[in-house]
Amino acid sequence: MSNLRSNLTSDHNVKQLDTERILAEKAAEREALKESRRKERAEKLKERTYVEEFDRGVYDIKNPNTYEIMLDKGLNEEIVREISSIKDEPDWMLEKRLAALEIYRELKNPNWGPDLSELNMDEIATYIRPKAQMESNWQEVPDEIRKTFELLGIPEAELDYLSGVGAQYDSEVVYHNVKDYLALQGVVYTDFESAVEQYPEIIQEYFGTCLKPTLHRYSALHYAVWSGGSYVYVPEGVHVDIPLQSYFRMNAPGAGQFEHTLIIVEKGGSLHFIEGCSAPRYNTINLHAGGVELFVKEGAKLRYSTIENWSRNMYNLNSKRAIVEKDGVIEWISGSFGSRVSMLYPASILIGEGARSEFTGITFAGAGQTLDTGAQVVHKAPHTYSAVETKSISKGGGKAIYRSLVQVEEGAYGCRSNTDCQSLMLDAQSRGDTIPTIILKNDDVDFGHEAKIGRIDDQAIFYLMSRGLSEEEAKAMIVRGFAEPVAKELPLEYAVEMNELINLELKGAIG
Amino acid sequence: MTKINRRTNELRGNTLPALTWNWMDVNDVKIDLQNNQKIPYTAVQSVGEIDQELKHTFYDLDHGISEEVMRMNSEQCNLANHWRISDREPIEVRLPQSAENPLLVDQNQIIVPPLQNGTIVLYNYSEDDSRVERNSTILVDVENDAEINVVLVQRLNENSISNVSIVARVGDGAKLSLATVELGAGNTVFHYMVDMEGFGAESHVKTAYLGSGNNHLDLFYHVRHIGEECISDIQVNGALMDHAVKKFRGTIDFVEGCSGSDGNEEEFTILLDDTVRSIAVPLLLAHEDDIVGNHAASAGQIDEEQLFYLMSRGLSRKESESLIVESRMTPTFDQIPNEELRLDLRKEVHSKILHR
Repeated sequence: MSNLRSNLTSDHNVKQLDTERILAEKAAEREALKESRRKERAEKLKERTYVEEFDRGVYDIKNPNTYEIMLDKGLNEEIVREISSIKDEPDWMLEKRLAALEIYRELKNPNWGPDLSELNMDEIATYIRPKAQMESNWQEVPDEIRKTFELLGIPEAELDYLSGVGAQYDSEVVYHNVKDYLALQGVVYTDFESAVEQYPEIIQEYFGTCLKPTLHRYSALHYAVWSGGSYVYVPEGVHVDIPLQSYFRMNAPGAGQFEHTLIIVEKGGSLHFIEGCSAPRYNTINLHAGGVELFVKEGAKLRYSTIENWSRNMYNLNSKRAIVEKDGVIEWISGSFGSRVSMLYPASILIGEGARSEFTGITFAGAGQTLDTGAQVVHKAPHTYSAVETKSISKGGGKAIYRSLVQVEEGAYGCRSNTDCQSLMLDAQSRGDTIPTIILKNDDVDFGHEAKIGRIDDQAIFYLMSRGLSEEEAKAMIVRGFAEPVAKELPLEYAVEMNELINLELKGAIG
Repeated sequence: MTKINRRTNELRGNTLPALTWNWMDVNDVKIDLQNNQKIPYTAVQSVGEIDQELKHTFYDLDHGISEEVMRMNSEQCNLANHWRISDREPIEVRLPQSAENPLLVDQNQIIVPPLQNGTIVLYNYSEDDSRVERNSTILVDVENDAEINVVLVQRLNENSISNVSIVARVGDGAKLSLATVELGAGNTVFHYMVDMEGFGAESHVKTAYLGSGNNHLDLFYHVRHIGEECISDIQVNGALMDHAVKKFRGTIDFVEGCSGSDGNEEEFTILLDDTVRSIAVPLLLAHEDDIVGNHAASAGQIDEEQLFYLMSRGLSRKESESLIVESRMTPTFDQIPNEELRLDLRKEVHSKILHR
């Protein structure tokens, strides 16, 4: 008996020794493996050089800051009244502005998303009138301002492939024109101030009904101090065959731009609207809080494209919303490249049976940028369809965040929705998050969501290099390929511009 | 993070690691714990001695559902278990609740020493129709090269509420497999958070649920990749019927330095009735480029073709539906070592769908 017990204890000791030996062996093995795997990974991620700031070419050209009127920085009732009186507005508009100001005061910055604490409204001038009148002939636009737009290629584009152009410089629209044959069909394309004056009934009926001032703090701010922007009206059955474009340029430092865009496409009509934005770089904070309201009526189709290239001192807190009726189609094309902080989530409210929404977006966040972008779709009617396809790229410590909502309401039967979002990170300092929310309130839906996040596939690089490309070329080609779904939705000239922007962005990251 | 809503003074928890729009009400969830007394639990005896130091180390990692819920768990604790797992028979703990045992506030510590592997099943169920509450914390420490299979089965009645927080840590080359089955309770709040600290650590989660009646399910997962080359996946499969509401909120968090990691999450919901609510918030947070993260979520009715096929073989519509739902749950059920329990769960799913 005692023999047996001693056997058992020695067995136990042996087992104990075994365990320790095995553990030590395992630990040594793992250290060796860690080392070798680290080396392997390090080889894959070859040394990179970073260029913090680079020349953004024409986008960065600053004009001297000359203006006719610049209101004091900050925001109060006096300033709001002054903007209204400068614009010689009807009373109902002033009332709307004051009501929005009250809402703005009550609302706080969101507790989610990027940090907005640096944004101080006391440091921002909400209204700056350039030394220019609105013209419909580029030759009448003051030289300096015209040159800026010429460098950006706007007048040339107008001749070549646009049916109308609006150009806003700081707070006011300096140029607006639409081709005659469209005007004859009843298409209206004008700056928003003229619209308030000329079409008061329509503006009063639609203004602030799609995008409400109560939506969030910066939409309230927008309604309090809005200035400039465009109004487009496409009558029933009219197809605007070539795109219209509004270009928003901010030149003044420490200022805000708050343009309002309202588009109505009547039954069976169609329109492609392009929005471009840029600003030179300053060291003070600028704010862009525009508002876009789109009304797509029965069977109508609207494509809304945006290429946004604000400078890296801009807080881009823009709001866009579309209401789509029966069998209507809204297509969003969205490229976000610039700004220091962006919060932009175009929303489609599908209220009519068979309405459709398609969103295609690309976001490229470089050093010091936090681009929180995405899309929202609310299915309120049966047999509505939505698709979201987004691509995010981040590099050099940039943060690209994809945030979205797909909501299917009670009674919205037979809806289909598909989301595909991909994030590519070009280095370890960058951050790529996806934060989607899906809310389904009935059972008759067909819903799918997919997301991928990670590095460039080594095999793809290897394959391209085996075909004779350098590693840098291979990577650049993969990134361009990644952006292709967005590029192919844009008119050729804009796709070229977008590719150039990507090349510009990649300069710092690769090679 | 404890958050108490000031307006209504209600207790909230399971806060998302990255917040989003407040109006959608997905950032956190209401906690329905009503009991504030210490009542004994008499169905089973405690096992082992709670390691207080370990408990605090884990609370530093994560506060489970919320700090307040953790505090209630410490104060009202009426069952405390501490296991050191070694290679032997699976441990199965039955935790019945009834009018006699209306409250179960359990603390569990599962320690898996190096090189060991084991299975532990915690099975919580109602014996009658009385309203019962559970507030549970489960700490799992998987040391180097160890493996553990944790199975949680919850079958409380509709009147009851279940709150379970799991906080886990996984070492070098170690692996944690978690299977959870949620078939009951009017209000279920589930929280899983894992720190994969080791090189090549793994976390695999499978959840099967069936939401029925007026059940409200909140399924929260937070998987943090910290060590290099960690692998994780979350697979949530379930069905909703009647007026059930389900919130799935899963986060895969790639912390800087977790090079070579791979994380996946998948959520699939079958919607059986017009009146259900299905909410999904699948997050991917990446602070490291040398990783691969995927998430997929889908929801919809049962595929008509599959139904048609089964019905053409002579099954009724409901039989066929039940079969398809069960098949989605099978990978989770398969991790339960006890065959009898597996069969029981299948039967329950089957009869619930058949008699709806």
